[in-house]
Amino acid sequence: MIWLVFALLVSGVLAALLYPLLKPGPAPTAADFDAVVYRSQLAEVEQDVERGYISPDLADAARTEIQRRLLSADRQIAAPSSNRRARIVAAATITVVVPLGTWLLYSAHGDPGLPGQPYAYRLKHDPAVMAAVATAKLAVELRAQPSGIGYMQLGAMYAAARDYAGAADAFEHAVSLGQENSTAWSDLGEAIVLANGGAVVPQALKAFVHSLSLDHLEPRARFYIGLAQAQIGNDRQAVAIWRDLERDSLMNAPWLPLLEREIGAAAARGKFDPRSVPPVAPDLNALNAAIARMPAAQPSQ
Amino acid sequence: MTAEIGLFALVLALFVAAIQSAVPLIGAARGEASWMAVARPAAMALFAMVALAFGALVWVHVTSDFSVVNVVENSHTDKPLLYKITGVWGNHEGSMVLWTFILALYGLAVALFGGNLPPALRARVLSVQGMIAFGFLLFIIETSNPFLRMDPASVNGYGLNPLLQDPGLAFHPPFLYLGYVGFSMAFSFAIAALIEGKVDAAWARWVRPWTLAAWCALTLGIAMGSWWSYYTLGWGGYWAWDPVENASLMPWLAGTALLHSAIVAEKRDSLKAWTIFLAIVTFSLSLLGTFLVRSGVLTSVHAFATDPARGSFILILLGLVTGASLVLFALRAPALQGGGVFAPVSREGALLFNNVFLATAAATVLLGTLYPLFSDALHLDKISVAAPYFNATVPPLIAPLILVMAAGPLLSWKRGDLKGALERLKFAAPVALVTIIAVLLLAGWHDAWTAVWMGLAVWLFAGTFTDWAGRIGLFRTPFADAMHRARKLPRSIYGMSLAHAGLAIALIGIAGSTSWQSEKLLVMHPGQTASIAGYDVRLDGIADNVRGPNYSATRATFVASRGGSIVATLHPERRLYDNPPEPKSTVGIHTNFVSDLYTVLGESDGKGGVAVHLFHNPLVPWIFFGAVLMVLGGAVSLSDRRYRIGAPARKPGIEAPPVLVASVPLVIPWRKLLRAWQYLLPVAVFVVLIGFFVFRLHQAGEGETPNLVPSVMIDKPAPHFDLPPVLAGLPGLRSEDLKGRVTLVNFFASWCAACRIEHPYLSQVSAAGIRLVGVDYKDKPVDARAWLGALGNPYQAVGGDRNGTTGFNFGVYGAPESYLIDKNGVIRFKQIGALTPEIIRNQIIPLAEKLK
Repeated sequence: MIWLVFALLVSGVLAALLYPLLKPGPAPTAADFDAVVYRSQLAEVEQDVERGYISPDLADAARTEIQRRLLSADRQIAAPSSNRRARIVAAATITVVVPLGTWLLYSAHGDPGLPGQPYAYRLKHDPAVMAAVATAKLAVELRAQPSGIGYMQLGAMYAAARDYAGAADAFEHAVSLGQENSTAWSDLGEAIVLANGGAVVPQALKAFVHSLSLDHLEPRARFYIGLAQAQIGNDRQAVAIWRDLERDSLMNAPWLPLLEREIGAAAARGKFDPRSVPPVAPDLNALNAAIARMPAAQPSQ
Repeated sequence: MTAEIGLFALVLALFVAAIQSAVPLIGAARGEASWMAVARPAAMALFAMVALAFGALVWVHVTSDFSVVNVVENSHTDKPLLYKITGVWGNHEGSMVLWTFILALYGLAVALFGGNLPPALRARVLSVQGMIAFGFLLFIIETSNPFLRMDPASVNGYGLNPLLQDPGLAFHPPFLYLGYVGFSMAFSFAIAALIEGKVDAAWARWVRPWTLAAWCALTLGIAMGSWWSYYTLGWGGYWAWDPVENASLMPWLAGTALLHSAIVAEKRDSLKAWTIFLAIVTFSLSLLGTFLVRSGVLTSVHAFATDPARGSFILILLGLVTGASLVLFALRAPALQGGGVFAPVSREGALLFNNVFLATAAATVLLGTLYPLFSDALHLDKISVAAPYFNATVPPLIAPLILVMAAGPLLSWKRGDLKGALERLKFAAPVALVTIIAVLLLAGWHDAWTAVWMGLAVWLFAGTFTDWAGRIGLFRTPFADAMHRARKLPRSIYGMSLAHAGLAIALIGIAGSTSWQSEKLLVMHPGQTASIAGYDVRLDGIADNVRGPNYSATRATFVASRGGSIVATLHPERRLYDNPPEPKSTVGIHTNFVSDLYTVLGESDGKGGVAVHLFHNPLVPWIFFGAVLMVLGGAVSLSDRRYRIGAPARKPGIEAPPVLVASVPLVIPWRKLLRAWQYLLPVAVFVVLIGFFVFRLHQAGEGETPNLVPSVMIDKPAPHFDLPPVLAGLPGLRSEDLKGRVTLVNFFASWCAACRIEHPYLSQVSAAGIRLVGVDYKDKPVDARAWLGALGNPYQAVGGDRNGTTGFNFGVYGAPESYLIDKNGVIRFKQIGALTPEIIRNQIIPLAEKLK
């Protein structure tokens, strides 16, 4: 289909370009373009005299000047020729250069196999767009009729679409609407961390502390609290918290590889043996006190 | 598929342009009629292909096809349809396609309506147009492909800058481009005539309507742009001498000069070389504007995404177009014989006077616009070349112009009767004097300049009226007779009168608004009243969260009254757009067509009050009326029958002997050139200018961003300091520590919001092997510790600059700021504001690599 359009375009253009070469009009006759202008200038002078815009002697001078131009123009009449061989050379060149050049340059830049994606079509057929629309619809519904469970779902949808700021906002609504459980708080904290490019900012820390206060074994909160320690340079404390988490995890817990990698990295930074650090559970009282000392957090995008 | 068809059409158009530039030109040189005849269908095919590409681009924007990068970057599904369409040219790639589309449109117009042009001239004109189109198409395809695809397609777009979501902006660029690109016609005619070696009165008549059309469009475009800036930017003004505004003013000044010198060339066969030169210069200034806006050489509020690669391409294009044409001019101009002679006091003399002053004004604006570049590159002291420079230099150049403008049309050709002309102005002179005295009496001596300008404007208006009245014999002949003559007066005369009167009205507006603007900046609470220029403005209320199609706004309601009776209700807003979430204010204006009451809503003070900026702008509407009148004048003149002379009737049977069409062979007249060295002067000046641009572009590529805040500390040793530690485990910071390693010194503070934004990216600096140290600027150590505890500490050392002394010595304006310091302790780079991943990746890391 697209190839047919391309072919039509090229042939249309070629037809237009070749027409004057293959079917030349009658040999042009001597036509005096300059003289037309000068004669109309003469006529204008006559008109101006008639209406009294210029005096007769000025008009005379103007007439003489224009007539002189008219005379010299008459001497320059030229009629071009038309040569059959020249026409064929030009036609052949055009026929080769235009399609070939277009094809080569287009292939370097174009992507003919990629179909167009009008939004109206994608609304019905593209899962990513459909999810985005469903998310937006749910967000509107929730604004009219807020529900904690609904906001949990919305947060998960935002997170799946990697809109972490939106997710954090939704989870925040969820916890304020009664979803007071450790998972919701950890979801909120994690969304805030991801929205901040991986930095465990005070709001996130607060969420994880909340999560732990509801369930002191919540693994995600423990992991991120450790990460917060690592991010301010307290590598030993970080490893202590992570080793505590490691000890409580089942053998097949999905987070174990990540945890081991982080422990290794922190130990390498601090140049100590991770096994020399005894596992310690996060100290909620100390964390709460630290949070209380932090300046009021700015909302971040 | 639509996007691919658009790209294919662009590429096909490139090759059509190649054929259009080569075949007819060779045909004209060799007298081969069929080759010359290729020009017309080629121009039509070029237009069809570019129109198809433009249509495809509009289509992908309207249907929100997010597989096209350009749509993703500049559109969003929530955007109203109008701005989906106008967003097509609200970005670099799309605006270049529009540029080329208009170029092709002019080519089509010559192909269709150029029947009165000699075939050889038409073939050459279209050939030159083809060359310009070729250059721009290649530029678009190679550096700014608007149909670049992405797979998988994005879910939605990033939206469009809210400033651009406005009808005034939506429609002024097309008119500006119609103007800029329209001057390419005069340029093509000039080059065609130079190649042919024949410039005569007939040529001048052929070129005039095209120049006039371009001039009308450019005038309208500038007026609309300035109107847009007046009512959307909310600063109470309409012209800021911004580089981009200057870029449109320069071709306008040169184009106005061209329009007038072409009259002399047409009527008297004189000033021909000068007219050709102006045609080249006008279009070159249009191209220069394009180059300045898109290359990153100058920064401006209007600047599109700038990119040195694009800059180099346009620079090469500019060099080829202007350089080649100036060389051609230098070769050919000495051979152009001057036509009729004229006395200094004559219509020609007045028009020449006009030309000299307009050209000087254009040169002055050019110098002022480029000066920051020169001073920056050559490390001269910064002299502010902003508004004060232009306000001091341009008006004195325009004033004598206005003085002569009233008299010029009254003078006759060849030898004018100055006494007679002045005698006829015996009505205008007293009126102007009375105006000056009245203004002085009403406004006082400190407004002497305003009085002079008002007087000049009235002088021009009265002089124009005198000229018109004299032509129709008003007051001399019976009224009915005069009316009869008025109907018979050629439209070009009416056009001139309207345009000159329009300028007079615009001048009154400019002089009045500049001197008599009053403004008030205050905090108001609902119910309070402020008075300005006789108006009482009451803040009735403030409504939050007013929803628009794709924004929510805080809207204030002001009720303006005068002498107790209510005049108007105004609604300025502060909007926050959804996508991207950017703020914009809209202005509430009440106009009575003489003056404007102009209200801007500022930030809330948090205690129930809002900052309010009130302006009273007298006579501003007159500027726009005047501009519209000028455009109208141009349009009326354009419709004059004289420009619609048809093609000569064919005279069958009279076969003239075939003669080579290029009657003057292109042989370099060395001897003549040596005698006429002044024609080489423009080439020399241009070579210097281009050399300078190349140097500047190179600097921009190296990461030196010109024209930003002065870089006084760059290439100077970092100041001495010794700062105490902030974090318990980390050392403090002394200037001696900077020696020996490339270091980035980052000034931050716990109170600074932007520092929080840049913070996550700081680790990229140390990851690249650059030592990163922090200076805690004007901050309490305990706050800084908490802040670093919360966000993480990326620094290898942190010093506390509690009272800001070290920051002062560095020249810190505010946190965050970062300084890259080389091994010897010399500052090499300064970033004001937050670091972004792009700045770190593209500027800091490459520079640090070099310094190692």
